[in-house]
Amino acid sequence: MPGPSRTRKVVDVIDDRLGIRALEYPVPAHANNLAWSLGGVTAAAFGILVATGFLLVQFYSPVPESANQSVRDMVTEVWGMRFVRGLHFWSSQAMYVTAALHLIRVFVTGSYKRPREGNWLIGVAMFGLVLLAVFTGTVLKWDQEGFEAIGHNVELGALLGGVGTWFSADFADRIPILLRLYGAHVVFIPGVLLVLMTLHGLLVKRHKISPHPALPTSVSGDQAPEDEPTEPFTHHLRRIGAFGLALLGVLGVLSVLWPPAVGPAPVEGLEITKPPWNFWWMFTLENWIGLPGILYGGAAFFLLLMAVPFVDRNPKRYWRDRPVAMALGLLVLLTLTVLTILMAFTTAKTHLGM
Amino acid sequence: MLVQQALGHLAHDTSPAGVDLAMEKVDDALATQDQEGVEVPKVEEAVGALEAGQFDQARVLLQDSIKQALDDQPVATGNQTGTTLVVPELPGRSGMGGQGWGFLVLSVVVLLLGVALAYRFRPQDTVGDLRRTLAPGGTGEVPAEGPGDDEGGRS
Repeated sequence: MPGPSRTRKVVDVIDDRLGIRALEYPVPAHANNLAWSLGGVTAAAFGILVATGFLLVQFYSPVPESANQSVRDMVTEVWGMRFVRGLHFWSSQAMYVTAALHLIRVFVTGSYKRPREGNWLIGVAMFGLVLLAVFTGTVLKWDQEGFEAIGHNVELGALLGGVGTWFSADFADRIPILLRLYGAHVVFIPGVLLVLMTLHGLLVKRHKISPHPALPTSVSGDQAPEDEPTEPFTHHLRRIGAFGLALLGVLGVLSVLWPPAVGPAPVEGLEITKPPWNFWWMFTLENWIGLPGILYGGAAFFLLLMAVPFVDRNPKRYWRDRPVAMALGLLVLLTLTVLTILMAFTTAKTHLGM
Repeated sequence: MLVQQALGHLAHDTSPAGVDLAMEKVDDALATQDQEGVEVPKVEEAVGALEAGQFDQARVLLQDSIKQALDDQPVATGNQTGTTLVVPELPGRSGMGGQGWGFLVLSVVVLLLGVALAYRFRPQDTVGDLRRTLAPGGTGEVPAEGPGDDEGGRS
């Protein structure tokens, strides 16, 4: 009888020292389909962002006088950096989209219900941080679009009063606000995201993968049944790795064919650009009711998301058994979509300093 | 600032609408009393260039006209732009060289590898299979009609 393979021996050696076999705990079979792997795909996008971000900071100058030019220089003069910047930009879009899809999946399958309410809140906080990362990333290229984003940042900070002090340029008036947002983009936001991701994963392990609404559940109703086949969690990670690889390939193709541009150097007193599409729905509200529209719209959206597990007490998870939740969810999605589409057909308007 | 705003409009849009906006700013710059650091004759020359549709020349003249003002500008703090030269947009793509093709081929290979591995590591059973297996001996409630299989499984 042949002995254990060389790979197995290596794994044994590592396991003796690091206990990696602890990852081989069983997860229900349905966890390995794509819909249940979207959180992992989001984490893969985050990994690509960290790797490409590490390369970008080597060539980026986070001071107003040279920030825009440093982005131009890195993509025109440093080998491969146009591709790396493209990969960073497209990964950010992928992370936003996969995080949103993951959130929608969790909502549709009722995976936020007891005892997973706390983890839903962590997920909502992470989605907010992803949005904040897209915002600060937009600012960093320091073109007209980025500078106008700063203008909104500052005026929204003023609207928030004392709570918005950090967003004000006066908070540290000898330091360019660009430098402070750079710190937030490369340290604070990814750092907090990493902590929350770890917590999110540990809570998934503690509460176990939520049951599939089309399958029977355990007696308690909040777990997969004991007779559902299981696979080691490492197989789940393996499949997420494969999806992540496919995602990297797609993002690579997008980076070559549609790399992001660098806008004109910023000029104070102009408001002539549109924000990235991720924020269009808020800016339609801004066009309607002025700058506070962004604040009220954003706050309402996130408060609504946070309230979901506490308002929806229906224990059923299958979508057809939850007509009210599904109708409300669809209404919110439809509203965001319509507001976004409206912005696509609107020209930039002046709101700052008004 | 007004001259720089005119440059900002020109950097974004040289259509008649964009040029009109730039011209408004230039007119304001010529009409204002605070013209410190601005070479007014160059701004006036830029008006002629704009009217003649010579936008590149107008840009150069406007940029030159504020050289003194920009040289006196302190280091940017707070939410100041720090902009001295208003450069136009740098397009994302500038043709497909060898580097572009190399990255494209590499990306397609990575994509195919990812898809192949995702297929290789696909679940043993689809949700439909699991539903059929679990329904008879299930311990909990089974919905009357479940959603379709969300992806293929190994048979």
